[in-house]
Amino acid sequence: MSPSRSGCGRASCGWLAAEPETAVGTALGALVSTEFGALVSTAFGSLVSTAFGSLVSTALGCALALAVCAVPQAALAASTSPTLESGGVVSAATKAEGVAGVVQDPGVWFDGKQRQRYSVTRLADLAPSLLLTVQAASLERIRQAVEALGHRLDATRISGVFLLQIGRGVEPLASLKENSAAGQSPLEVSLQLEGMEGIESIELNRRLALRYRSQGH
Amino acid sequence: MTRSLFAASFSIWLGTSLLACGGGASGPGSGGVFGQPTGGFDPTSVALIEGAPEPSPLGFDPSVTRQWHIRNFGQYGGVVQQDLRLFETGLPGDVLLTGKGTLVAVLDGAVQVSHPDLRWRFANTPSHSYRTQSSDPSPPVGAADRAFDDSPGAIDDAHGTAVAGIIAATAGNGLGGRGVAPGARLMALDVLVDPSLSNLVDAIARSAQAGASVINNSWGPLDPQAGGDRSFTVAPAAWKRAVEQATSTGRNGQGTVVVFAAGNGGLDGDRSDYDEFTNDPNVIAVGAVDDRGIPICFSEPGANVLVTGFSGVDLRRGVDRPGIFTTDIAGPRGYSKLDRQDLEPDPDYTQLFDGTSAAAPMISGLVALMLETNPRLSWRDIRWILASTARPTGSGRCGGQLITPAASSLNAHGFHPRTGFGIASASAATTMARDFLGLGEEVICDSDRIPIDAAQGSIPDASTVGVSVSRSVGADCPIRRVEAVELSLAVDHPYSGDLRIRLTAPSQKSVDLSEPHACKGDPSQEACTPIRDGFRFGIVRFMGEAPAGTWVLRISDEASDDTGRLLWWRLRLRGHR
Repeated sequence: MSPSRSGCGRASCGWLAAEPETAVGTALGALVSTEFGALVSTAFGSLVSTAFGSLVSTALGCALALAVCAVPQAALAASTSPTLESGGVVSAATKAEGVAGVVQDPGVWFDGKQRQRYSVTRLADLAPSLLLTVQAASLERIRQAVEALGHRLDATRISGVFLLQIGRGVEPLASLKENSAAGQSPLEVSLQLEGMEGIESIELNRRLALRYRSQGH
Repeated sequence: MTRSLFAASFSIWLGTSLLACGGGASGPGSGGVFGQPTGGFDPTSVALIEGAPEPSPLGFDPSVTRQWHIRNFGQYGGVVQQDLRLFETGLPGDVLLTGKGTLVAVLDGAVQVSHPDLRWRFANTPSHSYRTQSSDPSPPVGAADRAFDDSPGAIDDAHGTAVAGIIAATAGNGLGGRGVAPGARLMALDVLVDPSLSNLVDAIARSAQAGASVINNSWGPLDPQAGGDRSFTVAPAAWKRAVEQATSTGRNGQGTVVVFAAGNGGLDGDRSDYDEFTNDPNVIAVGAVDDRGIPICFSEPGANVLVTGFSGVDLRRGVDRPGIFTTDIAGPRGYSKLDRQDLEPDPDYTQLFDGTSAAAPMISGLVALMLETNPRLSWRDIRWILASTARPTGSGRCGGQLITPAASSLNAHGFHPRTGFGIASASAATTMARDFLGLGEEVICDSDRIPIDAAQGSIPDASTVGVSVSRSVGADCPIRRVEAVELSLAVDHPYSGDLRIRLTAPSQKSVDLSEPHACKGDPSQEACTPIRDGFRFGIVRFMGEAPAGTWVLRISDEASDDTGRLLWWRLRLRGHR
């Protein structure tokens, strides 16, 4: 994973340890903390020591890590970074296991067809949830894994598509908005599920830029 | 019996046309031929309708002669019979087809379900509002004297009301015109007022679970003229899954028919191919022709475009062809704020609805007629019949180029990306539908992902030669005739707009899925959306072909400065034995 993608990948942001250049005052749901370092040291630590460990020890073989971090302004300025534009990172672990399409999606759709990172204000407008497309056969294991991490997986009306409710909901995002220069600090929601077979795609429940297809009206 | 019913209907129309139009055609855009005012929304008259039996479709619709897409007798200078051919079913001893027994879901913005010409259609159906989380998706009420604002959820948000009227405005009720399928029931979901991914998924699911026969989608990603661009647009995986579910499990496994407007960026170099919503292999994409049957150039071309419906060009701009008469928000809101009073004095209706937004609901209505004729048809049957029975378009030019269909294995007059297999014909489609036994089980031949190494996949810069890869399909593929082709590929290239992507079938018929283009107005300033993570084209151009032989994908970079390479590709043929 290229560090330039997000400042939030395993190498640059530190899924487990490395410190980011900037920190966001709050994060999502159960992972909320006052700064990212704390997020790593508490929520992630807790996650690793309890839920994650439990998951591993109970042979679910899954790890889920969620993080919200600010992209350093320097990285923001480097808007031509190819990895920032690309989206859809397949983790090395996922590749190794041959599970296609497990992606972290930094937000493709906000301004129509142009891929963009999320700004704080836009992220705050979102429903705090992710949409998971899941193979039915592995549903129960995934549900258990997600719930063990303190989140909720709600069935949508479409078989195979589930809403992953992250943490407590809207509140953390509202705080996030207040703590940042509105619309200036791009964020990324990063999510990684390693070894969780059966997940076909992970998408932020984003608002799409869609319009009517009448001409004159 | 039916023939006499048709005759009765015709005589009413003829009489009306003589009364309102002087019995003759007139030149395009001449305001005096748009008929007489029918009066505004009268709550008293609606109250009288309440509790009354549903009107007979053979009753009187005062503005039906203005609906040239239903019956074109040259009333606006168009070509006679360049319409949907609704009244030539030719079915022996048949009944008047109205779409009775079908349910059409309108995924759109707000829809005024209480409109006097629509209320019968929405009675007791499970509409849903994502704005109010209620069963009423009507636009909000506000001061009528506000400046016109038809953005989704605004007080003038009339798009969905117009779309619903084209599909199924009540016939024979003495009001306005009629829909293509005036006996169909409608449900509306105002998902465009809050188009989150979860709402889009939910709207499809609600429709399918409610038993919708058809889901109409007269929307899409922003077209260039609306501030969008010409980049490749990847649709969310959850949305794709939802559509796949609807087409595989809807209507008790026969599949809900999902209809999409092809897009309006055709004058700006956009293609329906570039949009994973409209080129989804499980939807029916609809282009547009005018009242002469001539392709309208704003209608986006694409290898995914199946057929065309009808539309117009905005008369307010002082040009060309008449738009579509349909329902508007009742009273002084909606499009009537902008309509020229000489063209449309009745504020409950508009004469000027247009875009491929207008063409798609005509096909949705037509599908309802087909399903009334034969409810056993699968969605794939519907697609096949629509394409097989489409008739040739008129001759026209777009971008200076004559639109000349190329040979097709499905029909005699061929396929063109601008118009698909031609103009949809209700009479021919319902006739074929009636006794159609079905295509049978779908068969899929899948190459799976074919990785391309760096040397083989390198795309020469500024060259028309490009890189070619091929896949042979042998006897182990049991498909006898192809229905659709899915081509997925990933290209690592810093400016995907440089690429020409061409697929050639074993029959040597080929189609360009991308042409070199600027993704934004100024290519030096804006990058294209990359497709290194994959993009899927849904292609109907090869419908009817035998799959055996070699399929060739060629990608060339015909502009200078950037280089790239093909990372992988996948060919997935869908058809029947």
